Amino acid sequence: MPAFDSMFVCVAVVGKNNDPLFLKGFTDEAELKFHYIVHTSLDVVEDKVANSGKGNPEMYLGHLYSIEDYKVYGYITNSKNKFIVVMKDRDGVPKDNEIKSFFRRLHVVFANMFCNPFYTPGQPITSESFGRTVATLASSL
Amino acid sequence: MAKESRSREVAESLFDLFHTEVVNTITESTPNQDKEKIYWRLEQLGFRVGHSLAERYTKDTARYQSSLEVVKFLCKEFWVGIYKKQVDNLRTNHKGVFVLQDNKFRLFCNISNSQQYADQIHLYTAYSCGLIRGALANLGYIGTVSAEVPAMPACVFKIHVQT
Repeated sequence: MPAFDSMFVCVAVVGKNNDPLFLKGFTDEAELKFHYIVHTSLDVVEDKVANSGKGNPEMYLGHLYSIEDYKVYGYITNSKNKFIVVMKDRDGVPKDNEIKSFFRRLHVVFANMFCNPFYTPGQPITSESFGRTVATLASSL
Repeated sequence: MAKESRSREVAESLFDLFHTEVVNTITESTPNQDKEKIYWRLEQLGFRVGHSLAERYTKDTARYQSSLEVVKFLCKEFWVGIYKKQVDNLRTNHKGVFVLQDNKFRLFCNISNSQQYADQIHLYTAYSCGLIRGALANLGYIGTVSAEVPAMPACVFKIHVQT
C-alpha cells in the first residue's frame, strides 16, 4: 500500500541461541543501533514465550515494545528462530494482519533458505538472494 | 485453454532407488567396510535433511510446548510429508522414551519380506533414524534414535529424549 512507504526500518533473524543470523536496515541509520534494539527485544521475546502458558500459542508474538520513535514486533518459529521487525512509528498504524502476513512470507523465505544445502544451520546467513528477497518483501509493504 | 499445472511431479519410486544406491555407495566407499562408520555417515545425511524438513513442516503448525507434542508432530505431519502415511503406533513411558511403530515402512515396501538379508537391513534404517534425530534437534530436543526391524516390512523406532 503506497500510504505506508516502506515502514520497515529493519528486519532481523535471530537464532535459537540468541545469536544474530541476519540483520538488514533499510534507512541510513548505523546498523549498530538496530543491533541494540533487536538485542533488547530478545528479553521481551523470552518473556512472552515463557508466559504463553497452555493453549495453542501462536508464532506471531505481536508488538514487543516501543523505543524512541520505533515499534518492535516479533515472531518465533518452532525451531526457536526469531524474526524481529523494527518499524517507524508513524500516523498510519500498521494493521496486525499485515505484519502477520509479512512474517509468514518471511518464514517461507527462511525455510527455503534453511533447506539450501550450502547453508550450515547456526551460521550467519550470507545468502545474497535471501537478502534480496527480504528487501523486496519489506518494500512491498 | 488448459492451464498448465505449475507444480512439478516426480515418481516416488525414485527415492526408494536413490536411497538403496546411497546405502550401497557409502558401504563401498567406507574404508574397511566399517559398519559403524557407514551407519554414522548415513545417519548424518538424514540428520541434515531432518533438520531442514522440520523447519519446513512446522511452518504452518502451532507452537509446540512439550516433547510429547513434538513427537506427535513427527508421527503425523512429518511422517505424512515424507512417507505419505502416519506412524501406526506410538507408545511412551512419559519419561523421555518414545516408541514409534510403522507396520508398513515405505522404504521396506519394495524390499523382499524374506529373512535372508535380515542382518543387513539395519543400514537401511540409518537414514530414517537420522531424519528423526535431525527433526527433534531442530525443534529443541536432543536425543538418540535407534531402529529395530521385528518383521519386514514393519519398523520400530525408539527415541530417547534428554529431559
